[in-house]
This record gives sequence, structure tokens and C-alpha cells, in this order.
Amino acid sequence: MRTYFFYISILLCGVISAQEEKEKEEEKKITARDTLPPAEKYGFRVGVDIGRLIRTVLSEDNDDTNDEYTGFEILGDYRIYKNYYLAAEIGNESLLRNEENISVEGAGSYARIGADYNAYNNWYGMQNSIYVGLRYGFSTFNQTLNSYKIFNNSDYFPVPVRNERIEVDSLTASWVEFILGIKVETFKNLYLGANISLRRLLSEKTPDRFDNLFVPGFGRTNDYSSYNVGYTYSISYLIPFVKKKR
Amino acid sequence: MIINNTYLKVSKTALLFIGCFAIVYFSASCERDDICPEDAATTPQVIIKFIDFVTALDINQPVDLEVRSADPAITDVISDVTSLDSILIPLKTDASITQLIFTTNATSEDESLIRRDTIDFLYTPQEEYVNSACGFRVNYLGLEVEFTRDNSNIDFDEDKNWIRNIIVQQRDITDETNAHVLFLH
Repeated sequence: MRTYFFYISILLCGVISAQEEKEKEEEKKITARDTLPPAEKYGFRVGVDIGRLIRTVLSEDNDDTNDEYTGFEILGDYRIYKNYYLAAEIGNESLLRNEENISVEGAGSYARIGADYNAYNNWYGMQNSIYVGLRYGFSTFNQTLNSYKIFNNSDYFPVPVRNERIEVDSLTASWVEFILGIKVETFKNLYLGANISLRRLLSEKTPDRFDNLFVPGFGRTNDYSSYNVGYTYSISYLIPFVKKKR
Repeated sequence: MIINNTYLKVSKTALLFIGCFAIVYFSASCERDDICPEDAATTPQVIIKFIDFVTALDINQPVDLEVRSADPAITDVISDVTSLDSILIPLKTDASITQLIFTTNATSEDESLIRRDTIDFLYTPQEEYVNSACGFRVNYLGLEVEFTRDNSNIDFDEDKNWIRNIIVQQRDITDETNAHVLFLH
């Protein structure tokens, strides 16, 4: 809970300060009587997912190691035409799921590729966006079964925990996701962003003897559904290539 | 005017953030699927049905039945097996033999009424993944049920034993739908 508030407070501060800067700029422009609309920047925007970094740090400090997580993600987009962006993310993450009857760790790398559409009508000179996006995601990873219990409705005979460690490599999975997000220019060319995504697993290669409990890039898998949700909090920098008139 | 609009926008943005946060938070908390449901197909127990030895057809409920492990380390009795025409018996999941003692008139004051049989359940345990909430289960394959007395017919002692014959109906124990083993007495 506190984690979430922390993310929100960071982002809200950014949003407010961004708006204030724009306000000042706007006033300047009025006094200068500049009637030409400002140019729009086109370029490559690259950043990192701060949510994943914070989660990694918090997971290290946390003694209650129910979910041990490490991960990072690099994200980028390129504005190709007006409100359309090509977008991609690459990352690496691992999660140890200590469930009541089974303990499995999933670790590996992933990539997502797709496009964003900015549905937000910016004011003059503003480069913020409220966007929707689609991605195709692909992941290669391993699953390690650390320990497990035989589930038995009768507890008459003691059920020992099996600690036989089984690591299965070169597993793959693919999925599609729908994204809803926001990106705000806080300082010149520096953006803070947040998005949520709904993901649907398309295919997965599972170990012979058990299942994928965590797919890097996709997230935790569910026993009864192939859907999952995810979120990203990003900080990114725009490298402008060209400026075009609106 | 500009300031008004700006505030409007800030509050709109804030709302959107809170909205995003709420969706992620609630979806994350509803996602928990880590409790194994009671109706999940986990490790099956062996269903034993008690049949009359003479007719070999009619159900014959044993009187005051008690089932316990022959393992002296386990002193408990397998609960809930009294006066039923069929019972559920757990087997060891980490061994290929489970030895159980079946006793009738178990709580009788008169020692001479107590009849006892020690039965071996021999099988191959096979582990199978269920799901992330339940973990694994075990199927018992190739079940054989034997008396520990050498020859069940010759060595049957009416003053000590009560089970006369055993019929294994289903050798692979993978579910709990039908009777797996018949005890004739």
C-alpha cells in the first residue's frame, strides 16, 4: 500500500511542477506576441522503468520474502507520424513465488514491441500524452522448482516437504497487451510516465513436471485464467531529431 | 483563465493517476489464487467397500471398525471410519508400501470379540502437478493388497481374523469415484 502511495506522490509532484513551468512559458509567449505556433518535436525517447527498480530495492530490504523480485526494464519510443509512436521495451526480471505448497522461481529476459497512439490534444508547445497502446511480448526464461508438498486431504501420514531442485531452461512465452498510460514532460525533454496494461498469454512452453509460475515481462501466471495486469512507472528522456510545424 | 484551465488539468491528471493506481491495486489484490480449493483433484484416498463373504454381493458393514497404521510411530487412529459401508483410507505418499491394521469390535470390553487383520497395500506412487495453489498430488499405480498372513485361506483364524478375501477392483488409484478395493468378510 505504502509503495503505491510513494509512486503516486513522485508522479504527482512531477505533474504539478510541469504544469507550473508551462504556465510561465505561456505567459511569456503572450507578452512576446508570438503568433507562430511552436514546433513539435520528433525524436527518440528512451527511459527506464522506475517501478521495477523500486520494487527490486524494496524486495531486498524486506525480510518477509514471500515474493523475492529483481528486475529492470529499458523502454523507448519513436514518434513516426503526428500522434503515432513506435514503442518497445526490453527487460530482465525474476520472481521467487513462495506459495503454501510450492516454491518456484521464474527468471529471464523479455521484449515487447508495438505502437502507441496519443489521444490527448496538447496545448501549444506542450508534449504531454494520454495514450493507448498495443504490444506483442516475447520472453525466454527458466523455471526453478525449489521445493514442494504433496497435497493430501488426509494428514494422517506426515507429508514431508520435497526439496528436490529442478531447473528447466529455454522456456518461452508470448502474449499481447493493451496499454493505457500517460506521459508528462516535467523538465525540458524529460518525461515521467505511468501506464497500466492488460495482458493475455498467447503461448507458453511449460516444464514437463510442473508449470510456469512467473513469466518475465508478463508477470505471475494464474491457474484459472490467461489474463494478467501490469503497470510501469517510467522516467525517460527525449532526444529530438527534428522539429516540425503543427 | 489560463490558471483556471491549468488547475482543471492538474486535477484531471491527478484523477487519472489515482484511477490507474486504484485499478492496479485492486486487480493485484483480487488476483490471489493461492488457496487450494476443497474440490480440487488432489491426492486420492483408497475407497474400501465391505461385502458379505457368503453372498459376495451384499454390503456388510463391519461393527465398530478401527483402522490404524501398523507403524508403531503413529499412534493415532484413522478417523471417521466407523459403521460405514465403504471407507476412505490414506496411503503413504513417500513409500511404496503402507501397512494398516483393521480391527472390528475395536472398543469392545470383551477382548475375545476383537478381530484383527494386518493388510499390506503395495503400489508405485506417481507424483503429478496440480496447480500453484495445491502443489503436487500422488497417484497410486499398480495397487496390490495382501494379507500379511502367508496364505489367506489356510491361515485364517476365526478367533483372530475377520477379513476372508480381498478383491482389487481398480489398480490405478487416480480418483475417488468408485470403490477400489473390496473386503469380503
